[in-house]
Amino acid sequence: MTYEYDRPVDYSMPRQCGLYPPPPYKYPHMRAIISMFQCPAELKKKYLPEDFEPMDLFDVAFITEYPDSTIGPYYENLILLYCSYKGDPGAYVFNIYVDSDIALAAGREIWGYPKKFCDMKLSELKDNKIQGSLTRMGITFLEIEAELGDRPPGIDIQRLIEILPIYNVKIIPDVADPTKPALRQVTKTILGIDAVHKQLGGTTTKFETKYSRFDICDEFIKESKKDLGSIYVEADMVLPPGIVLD
Amino acid sequence: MVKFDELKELGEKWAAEFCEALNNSPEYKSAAAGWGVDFDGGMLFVMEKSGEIEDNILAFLDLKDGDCLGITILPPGEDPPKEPIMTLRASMLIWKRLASKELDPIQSLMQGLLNLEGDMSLALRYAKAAMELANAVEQAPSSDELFNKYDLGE
Repeated sequence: MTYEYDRPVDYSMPRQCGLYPPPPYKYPHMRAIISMFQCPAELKKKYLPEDFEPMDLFDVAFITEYPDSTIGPYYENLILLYCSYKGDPGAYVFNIYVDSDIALAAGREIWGYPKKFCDMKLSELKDNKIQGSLTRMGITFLEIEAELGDRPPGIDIQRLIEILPIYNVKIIPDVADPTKPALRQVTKTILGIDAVHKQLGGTTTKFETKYSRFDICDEFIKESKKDLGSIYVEADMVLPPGIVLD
Repeated sequence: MVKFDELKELGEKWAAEFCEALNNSPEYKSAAAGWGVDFDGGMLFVMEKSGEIEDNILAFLDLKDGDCLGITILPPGEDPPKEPIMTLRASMLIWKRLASKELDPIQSLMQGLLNLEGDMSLALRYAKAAMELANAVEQAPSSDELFNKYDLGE
């Protein structure tokens, strides 16, 4: 399905031949290492918008390869912070990194995701081990390694992903007024999983960060509990349109 | 090998102490406020046989709004008095390691050593309460005897 999408006029820019199509976006045979960490609540509060309350459970770093998708192949990293919005638990999108201009623009402009461009690596799963890393502006600021066991995790990952709202605050600056955004929306999106092909649970053997003045990662992950384990998943995923909450 | 009948008395003593530990835990009370109010809050702990223990031990926890109303130890083959909304399942050896804090509940879930079945949306909403449940296990004085009296294998 790579790049075989309609480019409706006046949906995305350039308006005559838009960079990306409308959602839903499909991600067949995506594979991801999902590493859990636990950021202290008081630190998490500092990084969450004021409408969100930190919750204790686990925060999550994904490094994902989409070998194909509605908008072509790319790699992605998500850092999600577990929290609640008006009492409803979910995962706040703290940072996303991608290595595709289409994914960057679509993510920022449709869902308002805080996406940046980044060099990313995700090794093949070999001897039940996998490594991933993120490098931006010459600084490798996140490295993850996991050793997977032979059994799936003890929670239903498909169900978990399907019920966990992904919260975001979409901010679009105003062209005329630099003092306030033209648009600020609290949104939620629920990912869909059509099929899980493989899932393994295991231990995180490396979860290292390095300070970079260009990115926020080291500041809170270095203070977090990082040995909560990792999951490896191969699945068919769908990213639907989101919902505006406020 | 050790059968359920030999463990029954110790299991019931542990259940009463665990229930009391929950009722004495302000952390659990606060985290579990609302649990079981609009739904049946029964939980099932399945401690699967391991090592010398020949039978699974099932503990049914009747929980409501931060209170433990009672914990029933079920003989093999007996159904819980009510359908549990959530079930936590692990080998007796893993429960021992969880009780002694040698293992973290989240680590155990990620590695598939501990299995959570049931309503995931409740699990997310009451995740802190679940952690406090795990923390209270070690507060029951007979946890040590229950988990260390017999060889649970490796």
